[in-house]
Amino acid sequence: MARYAMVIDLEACVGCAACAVACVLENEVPPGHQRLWIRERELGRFPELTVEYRPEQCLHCERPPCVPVCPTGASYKSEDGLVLVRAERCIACGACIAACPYDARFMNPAGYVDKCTFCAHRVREGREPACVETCPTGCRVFGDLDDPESPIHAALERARRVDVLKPEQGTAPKLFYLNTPARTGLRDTGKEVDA
Amino acid sequence: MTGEWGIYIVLYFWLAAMGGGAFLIALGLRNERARRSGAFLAFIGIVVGALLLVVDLGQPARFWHLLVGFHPVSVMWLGSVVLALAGVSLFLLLVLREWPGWLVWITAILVLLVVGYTGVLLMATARPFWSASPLMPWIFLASAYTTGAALLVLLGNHEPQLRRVSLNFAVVEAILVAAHLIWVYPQATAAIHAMLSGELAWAFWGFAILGVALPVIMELQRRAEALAAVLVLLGGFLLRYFIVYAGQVGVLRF
Repeated sequence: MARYAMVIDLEACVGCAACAVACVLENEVPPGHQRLWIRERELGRFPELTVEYRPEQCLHCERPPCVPVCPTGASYKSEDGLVLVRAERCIACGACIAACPYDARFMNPAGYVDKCTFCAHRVREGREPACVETCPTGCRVFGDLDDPESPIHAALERARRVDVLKPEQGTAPKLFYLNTPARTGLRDTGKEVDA
Repeated sequence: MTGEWGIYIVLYFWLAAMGGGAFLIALGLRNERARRSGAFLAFIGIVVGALLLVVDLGQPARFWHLLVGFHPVSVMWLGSVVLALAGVSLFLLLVLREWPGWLVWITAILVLLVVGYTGVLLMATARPFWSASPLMPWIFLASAYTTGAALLVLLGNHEPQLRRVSLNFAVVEAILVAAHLIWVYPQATAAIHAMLSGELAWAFWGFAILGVALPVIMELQRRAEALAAVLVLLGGFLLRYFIVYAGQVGVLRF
């Protein structure tokens, strides 16, 4: 079976948010909610500083903490490694929302928990997720970790640095960040810029 | 509908703990009437609490999904089953003229689990204010005893043990809350600041002063017993209010 994963090269990302817009259009995300959002961080101090643009979404963890907490089995990990929600089983209790260390889930006003699916409906037709297809700098690469031919392996090998979010949580995310600006030695000032 | 836990959850935590605590304490009293009223209070707390939980769901009409599957790794599933079983066994106690010893034991264990579960539920999350220390269930248990005793006093039970239970557990509860705040401070700094001096300060200081300090002083001086009991119940509500909301500081918009 496939084990779908994504990389985002933060050196190539310009923070244009085209991915976030494509996601809303593709998945009809209700107003006021996001499956995919951009976090901006100031790194360093004048005159040596930069802004890191980091698109965030569900990381489709290998060990997703949102799945075991679900009391109805609506939240599950698919055979191809995607973390998904069966909307018709969801009772909208919020347990998975509180269990996600990345705040990747939200309550869809239609009455179920919603999140990034890596565009499972497209991927299973052999197409790329909308955010990957639309990215103008090509900073996103989608692929299958179990397929040695997948372009994701080349992207991971080329990278000078590979990071995942909150590795201490032990979730084993399958969204990898390449070449984060932190490698320049600039200190995170903890300042967030509102997108 | 925000998808986050709000006032219905606070009320459920409060009612279930108050009623459950009253039942557990009343079992220790040699007073048939008090034991019956304890079981009644626990039943009401659990039934109303369960209704609040259903109403809080984004899909209240699907609440039965909780009871038809088998998901023992889910704390919420376990909690729902225990809540339902506790409701059934309390109902049996209410309708039975004679209480069989085994049923009293089973009910006591189920009620204890209902009360402690609320804290375990909060721990099974990625919200550091709830999960960074293991003290949450113990805080809720201690508060169930203080509020349960206060409720029995208000309903006209004047056994001297009740005042002692309420007083002792108020002190335990205050120590546990203080230890919890210090414990989680490094990971949940924003939540603690919101409690001490921010948007939740009214609830936290209301709990500390009106819900703990004042009734402890009043009970030590044996004055205004009923007012002290009302303050303890108010404190139990405020405790759950700031705990539920502090866990979501930065996630929920106030």
